[in-house]
Amino acid sequence: MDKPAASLTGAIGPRIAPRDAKFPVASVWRLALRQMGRNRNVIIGMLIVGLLASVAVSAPWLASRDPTHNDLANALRPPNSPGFPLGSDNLGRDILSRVIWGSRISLTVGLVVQSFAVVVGTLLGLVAGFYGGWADDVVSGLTNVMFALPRLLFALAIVAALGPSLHNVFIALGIVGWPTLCRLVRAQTLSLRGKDFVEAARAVGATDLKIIIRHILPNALSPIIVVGTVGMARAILAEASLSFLGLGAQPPMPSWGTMMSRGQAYIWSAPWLMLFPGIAIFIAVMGLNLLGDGLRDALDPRVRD
Amino acid sequence: MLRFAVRRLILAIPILLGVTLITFVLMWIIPGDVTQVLIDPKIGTIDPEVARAAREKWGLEAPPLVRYGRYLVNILRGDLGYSHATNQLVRDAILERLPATVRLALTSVAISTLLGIGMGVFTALRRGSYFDTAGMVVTLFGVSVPTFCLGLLLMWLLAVWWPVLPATGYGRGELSYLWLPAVTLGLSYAGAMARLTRSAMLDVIGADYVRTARAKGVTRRAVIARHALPNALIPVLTLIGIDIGNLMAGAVIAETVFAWPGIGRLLADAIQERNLLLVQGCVLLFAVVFIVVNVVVDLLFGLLDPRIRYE
Repeated sequence: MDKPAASLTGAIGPRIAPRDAKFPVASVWRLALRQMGRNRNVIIGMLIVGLLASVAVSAPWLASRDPTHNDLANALRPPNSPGFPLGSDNLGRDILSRVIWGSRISLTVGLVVQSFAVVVGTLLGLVAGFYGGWADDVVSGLTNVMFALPRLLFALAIVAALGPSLHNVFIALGIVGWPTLCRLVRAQTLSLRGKDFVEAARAVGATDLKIIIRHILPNALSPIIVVGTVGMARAILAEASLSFLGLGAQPPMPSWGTMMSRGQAYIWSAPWLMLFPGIAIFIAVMGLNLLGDGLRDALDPRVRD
Repeated sequence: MLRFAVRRLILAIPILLGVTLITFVLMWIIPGDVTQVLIDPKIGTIDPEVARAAREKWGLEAPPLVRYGRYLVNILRGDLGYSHATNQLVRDAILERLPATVRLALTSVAISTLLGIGMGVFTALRRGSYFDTAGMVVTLFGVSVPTFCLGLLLMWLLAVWWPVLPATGYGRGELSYLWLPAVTLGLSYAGAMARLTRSAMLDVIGADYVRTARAKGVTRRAVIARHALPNALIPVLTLIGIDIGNLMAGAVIAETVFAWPGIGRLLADAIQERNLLLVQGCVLLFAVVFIVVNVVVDLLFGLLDPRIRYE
């Protein structure tokens, strides 16, 4: 099933099938794009993630109030109060503004942590899978040990040692994030290494680097994209969880997790303190999960009809 | 089978060593002077003389490898250090909280497994129906809601809005206190379990041996119960093993939300108080439990599926 992908991106493919106007070559990526356009999950996921991203980017214009400005005279206003569409918290801060600004923290964590995980995991996975030998032993040994600790617990332990702060959450999640991708890319590389088109590239004198970049990486890219997307959802969840435990973003930073942990004391009298950040986390994570699910369906040739 | 089991157990040794290395290194990436953390924080600023004496007493001047060796020996002797904040041995602090966590963990594993597998099989057998779609939406909700959000939502629903259960605490061990944290944790993992069971079941239903069995005239029910389900459960078993690991991290959150006096909350409190020996002990315990669970899962695999033994 993966043969078409191989021959189209392989060294020989384009030469025997030159692109001309009469018979346009449908590139793998164009095919994938078409599949993605037909997939409902991808579209809904993209819409949600796109919306969140635009909220995060335009936070200074969208938020009507300073998210860290205390206004004790207006504390604990219920939703739909004048000036506080989603109510205010125990210090009189506008919850809507805080939720809007919170999207910046969550998305930044997801993006930064996951980019790091993808880059490091892919590099190590390529090296381990392609060269094997001691490089593989070292990398695989390391990932096995990393997998022996539940991710969130490992992150928790790192933040515990470094001290609670958003900065350290980035470090901790970066450290625990890469092994998943590394293992995946290593397995992909291993299975691709022996394929005919790799042999062919080697036979015409391609260097290792060229084989990895031109032939192995493009063929391993779609699972990397899928796992990377789902990993972003996980990173956002993890940041929210760590902040909820008081280990991440420190007050008065408007992190969704922090807002919920501060709001728990008001569950009896003012449940909206927790409600809206909770909904925000849920929407962000669900959007990314949907996108990941849809991309898997669209990009994985095995489930394609 | 014996050879497989022995090999699997031997493979676990370097992993266990790796994990002890991680918990050991954790103590040395602490910013600042580690003696500050090891000495009772209530004392405040430490006299440099005292600090030097303490470093000598704990052998902190020794080379890292020697210290790691000593750490391993101490673990084997069950000596995890002293927790100043609670005035007891780390080991005792953990043992005291262990029963509550075990109780919570077992209940939630049972809930997530029964619910997840049940729902996965149910939706797989009705692929494409409204039940299936509804099931996928519910499980997507399940995997996208963080444990603490779900916990707080349930708490608000069943303790505030319709007060049938106590919101937090352990009571005197009554069942009513167990429900909220256990259901929260159970539901958090049931979603992923249901999704995996569904896809594994769909894979298996399309397999040749299932079609053969049907062609031979075996009833649909019997084929599902005897041929399809046991094979579909093999990947699910792995997930149960992984979930038990996630559950321990989840326990830190659920126990914090519901003020459940288990190891998770002990760990969360220890982190807040920067009681690092206790943190180290709890993390080590969780990691060892996780490794042991996964070895057991692998052994079960070998029992259930002879193919795996020969790989």
